[in-house]
Amino acid sequence: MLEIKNIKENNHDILLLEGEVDASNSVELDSSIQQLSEEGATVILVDASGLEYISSAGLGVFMSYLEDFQERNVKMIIFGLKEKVHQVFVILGLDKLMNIKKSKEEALEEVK
Amino acid sequence: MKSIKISIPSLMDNIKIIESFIDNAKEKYTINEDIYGNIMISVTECVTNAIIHGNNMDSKKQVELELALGENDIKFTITDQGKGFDYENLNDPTSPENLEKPGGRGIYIIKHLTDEVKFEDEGRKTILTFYM
Repeated sequence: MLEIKNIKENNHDILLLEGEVDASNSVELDSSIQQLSEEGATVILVDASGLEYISSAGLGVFMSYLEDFQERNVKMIIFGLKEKVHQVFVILGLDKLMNIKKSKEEALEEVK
Repeated sequence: MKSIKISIPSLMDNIKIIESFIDNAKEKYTINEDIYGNIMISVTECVTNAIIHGNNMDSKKQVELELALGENDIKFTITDQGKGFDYENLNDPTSPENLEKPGGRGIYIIKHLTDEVKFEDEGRKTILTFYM
């Protein structure tokens, strides 16, 4: 199960993820990011503290936006990853490509 | 050796069945939290591959998942009805030319989170072993 909530907070868009991102529901994550992108969001914070696991399909969703967001100067920051979920990013070297912060405070610091 | 087997039609939505199968196994065989996380990611990756790449999402074809509990390990065997694949020549998703690609990470993740990975029957069958 994956639950995605879209919260607006002080001009920032926060995507709150809860549950698991697997191959069957990664399209939901994709359309949530897509929607924010179409609305013209410049900062997308992904609150992953409730994320139990992410599959390669879920990682693929994040990866598919990297280039586009870089070109358009959109900041996507993932924060609050549980250690076991963070480990998957590290194994693949994605922690170096993506903007990952430990806490919401650190993420907000980045977009001040 | 205790073993349980399930079979699912090749539809992405059925990944949920696999997830609850693993959840039940965790309760039943008291699998600890660390291995459970690795099992969940690896087995669902592997079944996803079987559904998409093995059986080409043909719902008439089945993916079979078998769990076998040994004394010191737990084995998951995933079998599809596809053409198999060349498991000896896979791209490295962490190399610079592949790093930003959206796909191609499944097996790499599996190999890192599983203690032993074995492919049989030309890649139609994958056996994942986790030490307990």
